[in-house]
Amino acid sequence: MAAPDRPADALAAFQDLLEKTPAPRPEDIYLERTAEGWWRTADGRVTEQGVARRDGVAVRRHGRLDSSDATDRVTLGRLLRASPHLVPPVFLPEPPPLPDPREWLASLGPGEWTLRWRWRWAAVVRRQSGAVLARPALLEVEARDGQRALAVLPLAADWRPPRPTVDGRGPAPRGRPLILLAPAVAAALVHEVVGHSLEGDLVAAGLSPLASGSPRPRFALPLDVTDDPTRWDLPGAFAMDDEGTPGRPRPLLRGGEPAGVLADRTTAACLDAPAGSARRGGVHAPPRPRISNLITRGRGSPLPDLRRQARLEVTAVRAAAFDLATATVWLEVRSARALHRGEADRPLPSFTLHAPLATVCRGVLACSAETQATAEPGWCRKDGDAVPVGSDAPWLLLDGLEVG
Amino acid sequence: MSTPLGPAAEAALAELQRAKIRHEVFAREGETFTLRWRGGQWERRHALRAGVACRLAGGGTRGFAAVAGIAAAAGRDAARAALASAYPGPDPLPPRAMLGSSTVPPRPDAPAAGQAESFGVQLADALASRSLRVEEIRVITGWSRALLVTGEGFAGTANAGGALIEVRAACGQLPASVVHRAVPALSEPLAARLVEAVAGTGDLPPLLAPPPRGLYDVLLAPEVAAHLLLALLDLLGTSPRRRREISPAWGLEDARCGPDGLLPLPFDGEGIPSRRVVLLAGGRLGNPALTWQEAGGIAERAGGAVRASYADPPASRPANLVMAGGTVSSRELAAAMADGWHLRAMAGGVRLDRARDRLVLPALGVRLRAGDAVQVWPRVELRAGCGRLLAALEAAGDDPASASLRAAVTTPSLLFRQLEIG
Repeated sequence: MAAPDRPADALAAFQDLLEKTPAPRPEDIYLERTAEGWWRTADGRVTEQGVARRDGVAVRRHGRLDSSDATDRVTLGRLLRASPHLVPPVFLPEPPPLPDPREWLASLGPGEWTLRWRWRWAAVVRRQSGAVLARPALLEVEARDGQRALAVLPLAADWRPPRPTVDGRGPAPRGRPLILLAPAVAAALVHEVVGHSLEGDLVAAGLSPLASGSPRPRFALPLDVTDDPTRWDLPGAFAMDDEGTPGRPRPLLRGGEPAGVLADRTTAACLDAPAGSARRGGVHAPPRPRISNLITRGRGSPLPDLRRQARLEVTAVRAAAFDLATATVWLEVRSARALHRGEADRPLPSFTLHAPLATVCRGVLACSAETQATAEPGWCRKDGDAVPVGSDAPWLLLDGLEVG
Repeated sequence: MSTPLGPAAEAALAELQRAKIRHEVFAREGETFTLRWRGGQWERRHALRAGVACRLAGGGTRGFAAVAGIAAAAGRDAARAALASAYPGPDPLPPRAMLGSSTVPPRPDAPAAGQAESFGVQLADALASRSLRVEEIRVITGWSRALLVTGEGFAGTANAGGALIEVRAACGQLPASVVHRAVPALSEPLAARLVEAVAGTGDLPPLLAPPPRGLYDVLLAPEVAAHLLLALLDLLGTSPRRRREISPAWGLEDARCGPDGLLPLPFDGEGIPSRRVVLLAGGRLGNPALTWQEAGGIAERAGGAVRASYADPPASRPANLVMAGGTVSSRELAAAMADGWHLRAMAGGVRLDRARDRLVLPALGVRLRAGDAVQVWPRVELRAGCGRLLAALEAAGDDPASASLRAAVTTPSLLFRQLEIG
C-alpha cells in the first residue's frame, strides 16, 4: 500500500478502516506528532540543548484507551484488532525546523534561563469525520528562581519574560487583609475556582461544589467568565478540540452565577451541554473536559481606587490549587507587597492564601476596568495530564482570604 | 542485540559510527496498564512507550536528540537529529573505564493486566464491605526495559517493573484522602492492608475545632514521610550546608543497586555501575551522586544520573531512596508521644520555601494524647526548617512501605520531636 501524500487521504483511509474493524468498534483514532527543542542558557549563551520528537497513536473504545509510541502498521493493527495488511501507513508531517533561540535570548536579558519550544500536530478520526487539530506553537521560559512563562509563537511585540522574584523581608502578613490580585493571580484563582469546578466530568460525578452545592454558590460581584479556545493569542487555543468538535467560546459564569459547563462528548450527552472542550494531555491520555483560555470580565473600577482600599498586592503565585474534598482554594504567593494608601510599601516574604469557596464567592468585591492577557496558570495538570492554558483577567479586590 | 529494542538502537549506532565521534545510544521500551474506578465506572488504559535517544561528543561539540518508536527509522532519525543539533560544549560522556553493571537482586515479574483486573475488583469489593465513601481507585502495573550502548563497546540492559495502587476514599465525617502504595507485586494481603489504611480513621472522634498553632511531637505515616524525605533532599540541595546538628536516628541512602527499596538498577542513566549513596547517616550529611559532567570528572561523585524517560537527557536525581527502619512499631511510637499529631495521609503537595530553607507539608492529622486518638482534622500543616528536621528525628518505625514519586522512596513511620503544627 503506497503512503498517502495528503493528510486528508490518510484520514479518509483510517475512516474506511474504522468501518472494517471488529466489534466493539473504536470511537476514534488519535494520531499525534510533537516536537520539542530545549536550551539552557547563561548570559545569552547556550550551554546545553536538545531536541525530541514523539509520535503516537491511540485507539479509544468505550471505557478503554490503547495507545502506543510506535506507529508502525503491526502495532496499529494490534491496537485496532485488525490485520496489519488492512492498516494504511500512518501519515505524520515533518515538524518545522528547530528555531534559533537567539531571536528570543535578546529579550530575556542576562542570567540563566531554560527555553522550551513545543510544536504539535494531531488528528482525530471518527467514523463520520476526520480532522486535523491545529494548536499554536508555544515557547516556555523558565528563570533560575523557578518562575515560568508560557507564550504563543510568534511572540507578541509586547511580550515580556517573567520578572525576578522580589524576596521580601520582615514579617509575613497575618489574618484576612483586603487583597488586590494582579491579573495573573486573579487568572489563577478563577481557573481553579470557576474553571475546574465546571469541568463536565466533575459536574457529572456530582463533585463540583459550584454546580452541585446547596444553596448554589454565587459570586457577590457579577462577573462573567467564558472559556474561549478561539483566542489564538493565548496558549490554550484550538480550532477543533481533541475529539474533533469545533472549539467555541463557552460561557461558564454570567452575572456571577454558573451558566454552563465544559464538556467532552461523553459528558455532553449526560449533562445536555454542547461538546467541544475535550483535551488530551498527550497520546497516552484519554480526552477529558478541560479549560482552554478563561476570559474574565466585570463592571470595572479604576485600578488606583482598588489599590487605595487594599492592604496587600499579590503579583505572582508559585502554585494554585482547589481542594475538592474541602472546597478550599489555595494560592502559594511568590511575590507580594504591602500597600499603604494606594502606594507600594515594602515587598513581602512568600506566604499562602486560602479560603473556602463560599468565602471566595462572597469576598470578590471589585474588579478593575483594565484587563490583561496572561499565560497563567500556563500548564494545567489534572490526573497527571498537562495541557496548556491561558487567561485574560482584570485585577480583583478580595476580602476573606486567610494568610497562613 | 536480541531485545526488541534492537532495530532502533542498531540503526542509531550505525549512523553515529559513520560520524566517528564519541557516542551513546539509550533505548527504552515499556508497557503500562491502568485500571481506574471512578463515578461507578471502570476505565482502562494500556500504553506502550518506546523510544531511542542519542548523545554524542567530539571536536569540541556535543549533541542530544530523542525520537519515539522501536523501528530502525526512529534510531536513524535520533542519530541524525543529534548530529544536526550539535553545539559547542564540553564532552558530557563518561569514559569507557567508568561504565559497567552492578549485581541487583532478582525481581518478580511485573504483574500482568489480568492480575491488575482481579486485584482491582477484589480491592473494590473489600472497600465496599467497609461502608467507605470510595471516590477513586487506581491500579497501575507496568514494566520497562532499557538498553544503553556506547560506541566504545559498553552494552547493558536494565529492567524495572511493579505496581502502584491509589485509593481516594473517605470514612465518617472526614473528607476524602488518598492512600498510595508502590509494590513489586500484587497480593491479597496487600489489598487487606490498603483497606485497613483507608478505614483506619473511621472510628476516630468527630471533628473538633482547627488545631491551634504550636510545637508538638509528630509521627509521620510512611506515605507522608516519603514526601517529606524528597522535600528535605530538595532543600539540602539548594545551598551549601554549614555544620549542623543531625540526629543519629537518620539512616537515609540512595540504594541505587538495592538490595532494599523499590527500584534497584544495575547502572545509572549514563552506564556507571550502581552503588549505595549515603545521604544522611551517623549524624552526618553525605553527598548525593551526580551526573558525570556535574561531578566534574571525579569518579566518587558520579553515578547519580536518572533518565525520566527516553526523551530526557540524564539528570542528577535520587533513584531508590531508602530510610532505615527501626525495631519499634508505629503504635509504640505513637504511645511515646505525650501530646502529638499523627499525620496519616497527604492533603496536598509539599510547599518549599527555598529562600528561607523551610517547607510546609499539609496532611490529614490525628491528635494523640499518650497514644490515644482524641481529635482528627482533615488538613493540618507541618512547618519546619531544614535544620530543625535534621535535628528533631527521634526514631523510625518497623513498618516500611514504598511510594513511587519523583523517585522510588521506601520509608517506615518517622517520629519527630517538637515540630510546628498549625
